[in-house]
Amino acid sequence: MVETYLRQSPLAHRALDAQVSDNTADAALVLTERRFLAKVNIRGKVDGDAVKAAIGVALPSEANTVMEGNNLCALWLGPSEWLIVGPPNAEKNIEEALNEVLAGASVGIVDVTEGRTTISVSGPMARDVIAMGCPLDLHPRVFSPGQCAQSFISRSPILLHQVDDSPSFDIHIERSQSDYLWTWLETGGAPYGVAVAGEPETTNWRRPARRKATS
Amino acid sequence: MTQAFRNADGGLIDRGTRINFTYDGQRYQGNAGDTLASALLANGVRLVGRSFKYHRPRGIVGSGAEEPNALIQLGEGALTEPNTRATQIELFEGLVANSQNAWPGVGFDIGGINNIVSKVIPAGFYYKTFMWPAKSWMLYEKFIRGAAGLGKAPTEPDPDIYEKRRVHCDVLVVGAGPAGLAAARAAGASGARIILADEQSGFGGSLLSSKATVDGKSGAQWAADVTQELAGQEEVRLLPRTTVTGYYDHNFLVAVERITDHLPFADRKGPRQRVWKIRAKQVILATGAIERPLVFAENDRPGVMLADAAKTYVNRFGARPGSRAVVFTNNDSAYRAAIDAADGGIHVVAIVDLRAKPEGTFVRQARDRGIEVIANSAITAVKGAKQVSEVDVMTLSDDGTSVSGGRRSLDCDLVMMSGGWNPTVHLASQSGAKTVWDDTLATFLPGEPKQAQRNVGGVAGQFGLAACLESGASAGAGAALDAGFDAQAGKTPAIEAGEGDGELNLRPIWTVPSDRKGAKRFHDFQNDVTAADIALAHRENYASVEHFKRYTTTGMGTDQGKTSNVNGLAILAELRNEPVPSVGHTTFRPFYTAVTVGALAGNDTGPQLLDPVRKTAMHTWHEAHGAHFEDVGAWKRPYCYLREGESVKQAVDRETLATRTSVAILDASTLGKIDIQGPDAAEFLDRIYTNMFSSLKVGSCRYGFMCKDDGMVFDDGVTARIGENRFLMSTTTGGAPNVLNWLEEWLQTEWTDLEVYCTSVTTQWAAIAIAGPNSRRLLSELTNVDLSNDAFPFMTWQDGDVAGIPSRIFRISFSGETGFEVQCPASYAMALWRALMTAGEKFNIMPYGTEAMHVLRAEKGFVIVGQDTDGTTTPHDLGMSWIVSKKKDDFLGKRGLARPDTLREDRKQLVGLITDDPNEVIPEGAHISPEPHAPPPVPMEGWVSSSYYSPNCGRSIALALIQRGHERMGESVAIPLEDKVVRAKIVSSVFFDEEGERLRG
Amino acid sequence: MAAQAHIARPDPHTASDKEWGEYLFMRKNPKGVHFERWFHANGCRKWFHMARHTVSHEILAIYGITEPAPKLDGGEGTS
Ligand SMILES: [Zn+2]
Repeated sequence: MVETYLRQSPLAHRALDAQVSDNTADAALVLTERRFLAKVNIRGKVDGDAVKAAIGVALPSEANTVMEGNNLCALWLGPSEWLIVGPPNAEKNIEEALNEVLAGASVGIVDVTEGRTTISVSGPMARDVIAMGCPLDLHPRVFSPGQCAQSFISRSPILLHQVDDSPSFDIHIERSQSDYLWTWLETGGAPYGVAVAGEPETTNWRRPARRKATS
Repeated sequence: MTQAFRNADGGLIDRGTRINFTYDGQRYQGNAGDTLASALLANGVRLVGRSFKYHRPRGIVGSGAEEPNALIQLGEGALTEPNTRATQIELFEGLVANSQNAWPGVGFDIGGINNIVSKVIPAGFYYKTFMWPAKSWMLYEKFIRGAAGLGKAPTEPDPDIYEKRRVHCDVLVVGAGPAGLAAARAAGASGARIILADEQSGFGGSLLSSKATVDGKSGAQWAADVTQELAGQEEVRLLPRTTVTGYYDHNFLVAVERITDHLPFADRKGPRQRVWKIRAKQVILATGAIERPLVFAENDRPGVMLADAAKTYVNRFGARPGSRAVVFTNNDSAYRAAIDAADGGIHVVAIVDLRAKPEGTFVRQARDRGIEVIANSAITAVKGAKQVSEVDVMTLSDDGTSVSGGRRSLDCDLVMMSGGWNPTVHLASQSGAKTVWDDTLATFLPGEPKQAQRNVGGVAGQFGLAACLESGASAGAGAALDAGFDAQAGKTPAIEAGEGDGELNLRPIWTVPSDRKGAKRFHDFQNDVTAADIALAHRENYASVEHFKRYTTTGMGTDQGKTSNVNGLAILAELRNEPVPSVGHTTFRPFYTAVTVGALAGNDTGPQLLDPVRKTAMHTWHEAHGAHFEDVGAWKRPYCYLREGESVKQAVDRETLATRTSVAILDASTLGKIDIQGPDAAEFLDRIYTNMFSSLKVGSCRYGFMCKDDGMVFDDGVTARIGENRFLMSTTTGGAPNVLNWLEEWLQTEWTDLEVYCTSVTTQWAAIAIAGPNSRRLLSELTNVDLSNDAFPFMTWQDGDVAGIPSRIFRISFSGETGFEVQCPASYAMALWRALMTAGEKFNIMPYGTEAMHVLRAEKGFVIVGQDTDGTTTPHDLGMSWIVSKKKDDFLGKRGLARPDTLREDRKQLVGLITDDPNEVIPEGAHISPEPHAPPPVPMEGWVSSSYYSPNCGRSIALALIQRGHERMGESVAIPLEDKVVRAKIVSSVFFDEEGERLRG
Repeated sequence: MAAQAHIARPDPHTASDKEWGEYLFMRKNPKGVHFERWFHANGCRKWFHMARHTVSHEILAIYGITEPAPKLDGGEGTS
């Protein structure tokens, strides 16, 4: 078993834990690194029911939407492409479950956990700071919780997921550019007040109980 | 100083709040609500600058963005900003401003000598005199720019912060005058998302300087009430002090908001300016109109002002721009200004009217007040050096081309002129709409909109208040309706009967005649261009309007011809005996007014944010260990690791030697990695690569070349077979995104029958290259995997733990040494790197950077795609025909490689070069010439693509692409450099361990 | 990313040098309606077709990457 203390998130060098603020309520912008969230990419001709049975979340068919279930989110990335996001350390189990149920199907299942991290952005200025570099229309009439979109902030590609209407967003970012994006968000929010929040609790992921075969 | 020209009451300024400011070293006081221009006028300051070319004294002409003369160097030190307009600078406590274009000061100006010798500085003078010979221009330029210069750029870094913001809306209203306010009100009531932007501090536009009443209250009060109503609506965003400067495709507009420029320095917090990038479903342009000067003799004397500007200073600021005014006009609107001036305490001496029989609502009102109207007459001279003191008036001929009769002199210190109005069509024109000439108004109006856009009010040629309010409300409702909202125009506000209908009854006389031969009649104040200059351009056949503009420099100043363009074109049209529209006008381009570069940059400045930076998982280790970084694409990669007291070359040499003598490690994480899965994955790779991949065994890997379909090398890398239907492709660092897009392109557009799925895993896996004779010994200390040559042959891979971390080990090498590449999940890479460094201490391990990697691979003749290839290089040119499959039926590039041009024998081919002097390192990119001493253009036969000092060879080595290179082994070639010609011998491109024993050992 | 659409890759076994050269290098540059291939780089990474007016930049049609060009007023423009 690999020693977990050896594991470093992409923003580990920033020692964010030491910067966590007691009072994030007054901050215009609240940032958090959500470390090691499991991320598995699915492409191809996927049997959605089989996926739902295997991991407990359905794959959205509507563009730029997110389905939730069994402690997982399934984000629509494109026609026939999705990203499953789950709690830390779930990636191997998710990948295994998908490979099992989709064996022989024309699909590509790839663990991309290590290649990205997630920066949670919330607070009253969250929309405005993101809009400093992102061309998406984030107005509540247009973009709301349960929606996601691939876009960019300044010149970094991002996957944006609105989590709630506080508002709070999860920005999934390629790990090599996460340090740049963090600096960028912090700089944009600086005139208004930025705080670092602690990471939300996560639970261990379990595969759904297998139903008896009906055939 | 007292404000001697400030009225005791009236206007929108706050008389209770005094503001101290400094202008040209002199201290003054103004009031809250003043602009710098209104405060200067209230203090009796009329002379504000010297003109660009002749250094003639100039005064304030306008009251807004159109101002051509009152250019100000605002602030000092790092905060200084040139070319701001006094008419748009809001006064704040502690403001420091200086006039431009004048040394030692506006009162006495050395450059004024140009005025006396102005006969020798006609239009085109700079071009004719100084452009040839080119060398002389370099000498003259400094002198000319010094004398003519428009302000000074700050020399220190800008300490301010700026912001950019994207925003979307249903309806964008540009301009918050009566039409814009009415539009925003009608649209806003529907619940649509509205943005209302205006360049001024307060909303109201012309209402702020007018005495008209709306719905029984003053125009300013009505505007304030509507603004408040709009502010209360959730989906309305009000942007005062915001200039919409550009209008692009698909209703994308750019605006600049000045957030803190009006505040005392101590109160400035947060961003100074914000650039709004607006995407609007519907756009309403209510940009108004700008008054046009009359082109008459000596019309540039300080004290000659646009009539509406004078009215604005009196009505809005309670500041009198003079004491005795003569009004000079060709239309009715100046009469309204004359009446307001008279009400404001200015003695209106007379109204000189170019029209034979002026008679409109305001003409009657003026006459009723006893103001003398001198009809059918022209001002033929303006006297006074630094301020108007007197004008001459003569009778105009019927055709308007000459004057006659007695000369009547009028004593005055202010001339209020009006030559009509030019709608501010800039944004409409930028949006793609053609402009159309209107004969009645004698000006250009915006034509049929090309985008989802409407024009209302002054910009549409509507000068009556009632028409503005009505068209605004109707456009606002219409735009909201088109954006999908239920909207109504509502009731049009009530206007007084005496307000008139906005008719101008204009008589265009583009060049006002004078009996004084040679008197300058300016149409472009800022660039000092006169009617005579236009005639000269015309005589010299600068017939096209684009040539005319550049020759005379009309409209090329910081004001971009806001007051001068139409006059200039009309004068040219008269000379050409053509109607104005057939002369046309030059293109209106963004920006409407100048934009601070800092605002366009926003937050994207400095080493952290100028460009996105990509860092590997080991980046902080590299930083802590002396890494000297280089940019490879967006990546920061260690070029070498500098030790105490070491030069870059010494570090590179040390790292290069260490790799061949013991062991060294390289952070190779940046190489692109693509996971390729699917039942057709092998077939797909056979089509993408020039060589065969379907024959590759699971557990093995192979080096491959990709060509574009023309046969030119595009990328390369090692691809491993992970499973029957799964491959892990590696690409060059810089090529990774392009390769992934390339794969997607063929899968999605051409080979739609192939079931293959590509996913980038570049940063999923960190990669460490371990190279050198001790690499196997080092790695075996950290893993149980059998690394022996038999168990783990060259070009295979195996999974296994390394330092307790689940990893994938590849037996590959780019250094030509025995080597491995270990890939591990990126978040464990730092731990793995540290473990290798610790375990390697006994081997004197060291990290090596990209430059040592380059030297090592060049010693072996391994090419770098993009460095030793340039998009016209085939695998055959590189001497790598072995990598081009002869068995495959087709692959990308196969047919291209059989084209006659690709088969030519005189193609440039990759060879090695060794210089006659072993210490000479040829600069990369140097050309190779068969006749290095020939006069230019020197013939070329190739170029040096890679060049290094090789410590392992003990000499310099180079790779070059040379015509017919492969058949010229042993030949001597010449490389002409700036100061000498270097000679070198063509050799094999492999300089070290030609047999490859180290690689496979 | 945009490029001219509906260029068929000739059969490499039978195409003449001239045909192959035209497939590789020759592109239209019409003033008017242009049929193009676009790649949604900052989104779903799908290729798609677009009919675009090269003067007004108006987007006249969007259609699938395997679909044929629609009939549009203004034709293909002149090259
Ligand atoms: Zn898309």
